[in-house]
Amino acid sequence: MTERPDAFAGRPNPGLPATAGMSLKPAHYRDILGVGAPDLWVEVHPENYMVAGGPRLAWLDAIRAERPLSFHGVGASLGGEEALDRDHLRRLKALIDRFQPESVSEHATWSAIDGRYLADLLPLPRTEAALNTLCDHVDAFQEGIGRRILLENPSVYLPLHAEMDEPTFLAEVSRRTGCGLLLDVNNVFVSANNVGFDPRWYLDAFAMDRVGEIHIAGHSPDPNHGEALLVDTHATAVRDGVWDLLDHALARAGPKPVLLERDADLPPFDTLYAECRGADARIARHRKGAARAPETRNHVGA
Amino acid sequence: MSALSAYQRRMAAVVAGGDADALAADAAEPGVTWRAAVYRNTFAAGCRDALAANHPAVEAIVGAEFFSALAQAYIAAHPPTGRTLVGYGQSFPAFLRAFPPVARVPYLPDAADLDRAWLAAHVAPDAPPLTGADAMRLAQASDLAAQRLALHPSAQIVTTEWRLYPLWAAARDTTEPDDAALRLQRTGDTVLIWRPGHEVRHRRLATAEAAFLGDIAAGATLGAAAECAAAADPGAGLAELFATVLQDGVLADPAEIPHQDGEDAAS
Repeated sequence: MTERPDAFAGRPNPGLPATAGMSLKPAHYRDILGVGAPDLWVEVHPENYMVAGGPRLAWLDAIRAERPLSFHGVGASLGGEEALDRDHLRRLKALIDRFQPESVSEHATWSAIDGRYLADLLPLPRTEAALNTLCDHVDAFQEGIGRRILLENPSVYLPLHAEMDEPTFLAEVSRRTGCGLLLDVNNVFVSANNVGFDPRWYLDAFAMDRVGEIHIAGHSPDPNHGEALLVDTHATAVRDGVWDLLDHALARAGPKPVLLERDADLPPFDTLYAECRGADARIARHRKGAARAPETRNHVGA
Repeated sequence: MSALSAYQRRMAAVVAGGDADALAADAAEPGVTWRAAVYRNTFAAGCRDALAANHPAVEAIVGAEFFSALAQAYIAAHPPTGRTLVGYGQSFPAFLRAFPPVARVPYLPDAADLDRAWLAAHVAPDAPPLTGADAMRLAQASDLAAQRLALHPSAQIVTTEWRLYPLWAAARDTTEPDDAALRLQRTGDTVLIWRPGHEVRHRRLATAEAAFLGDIAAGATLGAAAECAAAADPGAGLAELFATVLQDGVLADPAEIPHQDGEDAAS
C-alpha cells in the first residue's frame, strides 16, 4: 500500500470543541435557541437542509449563530462503485459555504447504485479493491467541498469477506487521503455484538491520533432476533456498555468532541441535554487525566 | 463488471426485497445472510416514513395500515433516486390515481396533490411578499394595470377534482373534521397554499381569485388579470380582491425573486 502524493492537504476544519454535542432535530429548534448550555454544539445531516428556502434553513441560521456546527452527511455513498453524485456535491458545497460548519463528516459505507438511493449505510467488503474505491471517492469528495472530512466506522449486521480488519482499513483510508476519523462507539458495540469481536480490541487497534469526533447513541435488539442482532436505531438512551466504551476510547484518545445521536422516539430536549452532560463529565475526567496532552481543537481532521 | 459493483448490485436487489441468499458468496461466513434483513427493513421503513412525513393528510385519511400498503407498492414502483428522502414521493399523486385499490377512496390523489403543494411551499425560495405600500409605489412610477407581477415563489395553486379542502385542512391540523367537511362532492375546487414568511398558509380560492392569480402566474399584466377575474365572476369586487391578495402576501415583485440554482428537492 503506497502513500499517495496527492493526499488532500487543503484547508483544515476549524474543529469542534472537545465537549458534548447533540443531533439537532426540528422538534428541539425552539428549545435550543437561546438556551444557556454554553459548551453544547450541534450536528445535522446536511441532506435535510438541501432545500431552496423556508423555516428549516432560517432555524439553522439562528442556531448556528449561537453554537459550533457539524455537518454529518449520509448521502455521499463514498464506498459506492459509481462516481460521486455531482449534484449532491454541489448542494453540499453550497451549504458549507453558507453555514461554515466547524466539521464535515461522512461514512465509510455506500448507499447508491444504478441511479437508485438505498437510504441506508451499506457495508463494504474490506478488500484492497474496495479500499481503493473508497479512497478515490474520499479524495474527490474532499476536493469537491474544499475541506478535509472525518470518516465514520459503520455498524455491521452482515459480516462481509475481508482482507483486513476494520481499524486497519479505516487507518489506511485516513493515511492515504488525509481524512480524519469519526469513531462511533455505539457502532463498535453493535458490530462487536453482531459479528463477535472484542470491542476493546477494536478500540485499542483504532487510529486514535486520527479521531476528530466520537459518536454515542442508543441501540435496540432486533424485533425478531433479539440480542443476537443489535440494531443501531438511535431510538433509545445510551446504554451502559456504550458509556464504558466511550470511557475506554477517551482514556486512549484524550478529550474529544462527543456527539449524542438521537433520531427516533425523541425525548424532550432536557432529557437529551442531561445525557450530553453525562458525556461532558466523562470528557472532563479525561481532560484532567490528559492535562499535558495536546487539545483536540485544530488537531488532525477535526 | 468489478467484484465490488457485482456485490453492490446483489445487495441492492436484497435491499429492494430480494432473497438474502444471493449474498452467500459475499458473506464472511456461511449461514449469516439472514442478517441482511436489517438493511431491507431500514430501507423500507425509511422510505415509508419519509412518504408519510411528506403526505400526512393522505395517511390521516386512510390510516397507517392502508398507508403502509400504499407505500410498499409505491416504493417498489418508484424507488428513491436522489441522495436524500427529503421530498420523496414526487410521483405519489399520479401513482395513487392509477393504483386500483385507491378507487374506493377516489379523493385520495387530491389529498396527495395538496400535501405535495404544502411541502413545495414549505421549502420554496424565500422572498419578501409584495405589500400594499410596494403596490402604491409601483402605481406612482407607472400605470399599475400595465405591470407584470409574480406570485410569491412559495405560492401553489392546486385544482382538485373533489371539494376536499376542509377535510384536508382538518387532517393537516389533526382536528376532527366537521360534518360539512365530510360531505365530499365531486364539484372541483381551487386551493392556494403559500408561505409569505416562515409559516405555510392555505385557503380556498373564490372563482375570481383563482382566475386572477392563475393569470398572474401565467405572466399576464395586472390589467389583463383583472379582466380575467371579472370575466370569471362578473359580481366580484376587484379592488377588494387585489387588497386581499396583497394583505395575504401572495404576490411578489419579480425582481425580488431569487434565481433558483438547480432543481428543488420537493419539486
